[in-house]
Amino acid sequence: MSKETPILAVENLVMHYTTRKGDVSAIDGVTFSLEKGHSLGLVGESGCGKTSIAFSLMRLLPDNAKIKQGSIFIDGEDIITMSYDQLLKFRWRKIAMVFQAAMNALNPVYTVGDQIVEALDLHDMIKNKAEAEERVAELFELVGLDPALMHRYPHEFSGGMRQRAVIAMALSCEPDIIIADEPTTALDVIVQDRILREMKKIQQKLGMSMIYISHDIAVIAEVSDHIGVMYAGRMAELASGVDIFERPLHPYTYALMRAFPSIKGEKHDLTTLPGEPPDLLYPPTGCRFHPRCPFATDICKEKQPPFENVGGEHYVACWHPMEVHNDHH
Amino acid sequence: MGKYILQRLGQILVTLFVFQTLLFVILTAMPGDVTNRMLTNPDIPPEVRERTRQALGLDDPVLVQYGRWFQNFITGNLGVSYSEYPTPVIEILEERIPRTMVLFLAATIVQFVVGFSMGRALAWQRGGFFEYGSTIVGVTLYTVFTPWFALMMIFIFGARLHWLPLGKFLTPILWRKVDIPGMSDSLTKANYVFTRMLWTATAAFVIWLIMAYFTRNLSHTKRNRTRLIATVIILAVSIGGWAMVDIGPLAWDITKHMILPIVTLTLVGFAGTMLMTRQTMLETLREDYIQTARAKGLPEKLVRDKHAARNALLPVFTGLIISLPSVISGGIITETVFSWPGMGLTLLNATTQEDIPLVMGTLSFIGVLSLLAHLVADITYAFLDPRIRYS
Ligand SMILES: Nc1ncnc2c1ncn2[C@@H]1O[C@H](COP(=O)(O)OP(=O)(O)O)[C@@H](O)[C@H]1O
Ligand code: SF4
Ligand SMILES: [Mg+2]
Repeated sequence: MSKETPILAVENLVMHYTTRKGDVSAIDGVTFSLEKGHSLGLVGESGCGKTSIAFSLMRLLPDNAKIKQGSIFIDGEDIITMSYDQLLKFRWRKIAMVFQAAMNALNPVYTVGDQIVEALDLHDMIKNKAEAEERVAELFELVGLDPALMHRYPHEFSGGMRQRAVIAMALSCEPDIIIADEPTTALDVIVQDRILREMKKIQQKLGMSMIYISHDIAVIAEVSDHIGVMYAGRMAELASGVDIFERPLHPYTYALMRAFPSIKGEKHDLTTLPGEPPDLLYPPTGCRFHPRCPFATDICKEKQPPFENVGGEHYVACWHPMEVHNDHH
Repeated sequence: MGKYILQRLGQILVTLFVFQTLLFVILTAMPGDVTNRMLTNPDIPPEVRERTRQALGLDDPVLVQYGRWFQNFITGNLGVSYSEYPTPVIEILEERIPRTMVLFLAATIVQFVVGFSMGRALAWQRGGFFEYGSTIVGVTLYTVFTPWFALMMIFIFGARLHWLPLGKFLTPILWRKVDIPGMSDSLTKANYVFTRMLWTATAAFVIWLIMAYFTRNLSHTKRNRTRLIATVIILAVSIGGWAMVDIGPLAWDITKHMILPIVTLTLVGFAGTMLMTRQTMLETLREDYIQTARAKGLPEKLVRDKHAARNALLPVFTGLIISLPSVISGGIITETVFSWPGMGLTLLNATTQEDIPLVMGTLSFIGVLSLLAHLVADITYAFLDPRIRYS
């Protein structure tokens, strides 16, 4: 694979939320990149900082969020140091997003079509009304909606239709990257599956880059080339989808897969991971996974494991990667 | 939409029926009747009182009287005023209703616009001098005893500074100087001028609505600019037109008499709208579609005005509808303090002079007017909220 500059490069990102009780260490030194036309899945239990990363990438963080360190390069420009005016042009045109609560992502008082036209108009993608309608119709067809529905209001759409409309809106300005943050969690499984597969098809057809975010590794596996496993604000493991499933190195990755037994038909025992992710107001010392890790030793409690390349494009942050234990069995 | 309006109309007719019935019950439940006054006059023999009672139908069974009351109300026959004998009640009301409506419509609109804009701004820049200053001033005025505050306003701007008239509807000296063919007394002239002012305002409003309809498809910034320019032109033409005719100064005289009551009502009332707008804006800002609007690259001002404020308008508008009855009852106090010859003052005078037909007529029409206002508000609300319009 040729090594051109990635469309997205996140370098040692550190972000805190300031609260009355203290600082929440929501992102702590995360590094990853995304090639043009590829897709990356971010997976981890709820509260691991996935949404925080997504919002950082668009610089849409709430007021109490402070980016302490690091850089986010999108198409060669650092959006953290970018001016506000430049940022406004960047959003949606370079990087768009399908929100976690996509059900409520549409404004109830404007028609769905108008809300898409608003984005097109803002980024000078259209010249007049006729062109706008044509483009919206095109987008509706692309996501499997009847173009006649563009003059309808969000409350007239079903959940699945709203989801598609939101995807159409994200596609409208032909962004380089689309982030889909738990885009289908609110929908029933069948609709969820269908929409995800269609999204992947559209992504490949249009050659965009995509970041899928989910707490469900099965969902991520289906659509992503690469998978990043996040735990408590850090990247635990990052590798190609194949490597993650064939050679998981981090105990947390392993645990996630056991918790979701349907993957690749393998028979794992159904024991789910005990406990829950830590409160990031008081993150554990050393490896943040150590209170829940069956393999934790003294060093795990004291020193943070480095995020290291273990060959190819496989990175892991663990003092005692899994394969070692597997060898002992 | 049509179904929604029909439904509302139905509800309003039922409410009106209940209201009229209640009025009748109150009237008949009062001890004695109008002929009681005759008892205190030794010159009137009891037979006369009996005959009067018969002539007025007061001996008939209650249900017959009730039917007659309703029939009269529907046919607009409200009887003749005692205190302004022999003017029919309906004529008095025809003259007073527009005055009250203009005053309170203007005050309500100004109050709403001021309160909404300030609340919108407050939600955006939290903390700081602007927030504390306007909240303290607003809440102080909101809780102050209104008649006292109104008197203070008259004292300062009328009696001390002489900027504005002390009260009433017009300055008689001015009116005697201007001749309108075929009219001798200022009252007829006033009604003539005032009716024309109302027509101008109505025409300007209709033209504005048509303009708003045709500009609805423009992009947000372009639409706002076009609408602003069109509004200025419409205002300039209507005011300019009045400035050129002989009766222009008379219209200005009436307008001047309206300024102080409107400013007072606005100052007393805007804080309610302001705080409510601020609160709903803060809630709206947490909605996901606000996040979407920002993500699309919309500048903060558009996020605020086009997405947040537009949605915050809905509950604030509902609040306004709910407060309508208190606007009308508060009107009696305001009209009295400013000697504004509208429905409120008429009702008060009619009550103190035991002018029963006029009291009943005034109350009936206050009911009709508040219900009409509700209907207009409901229809406006449906236009603001597509979830109601299309269900
Ligand atoms: N606005 C905020 N203020 C304070 N803490 C926050 C805020 N948003 C998220 N957090 C905290 O940051 C952590 C990461 O949250 P989030 O990024 O939403 O995780 P995920 O999307 O993986 O569920 C959580 O511990 C959450 O409680
Ligand atoms: S570093 Fe230690 S505690 Fe952390 S995952 Fe690896 S083995 Fe477990
Ligand atoms: Mg999330």
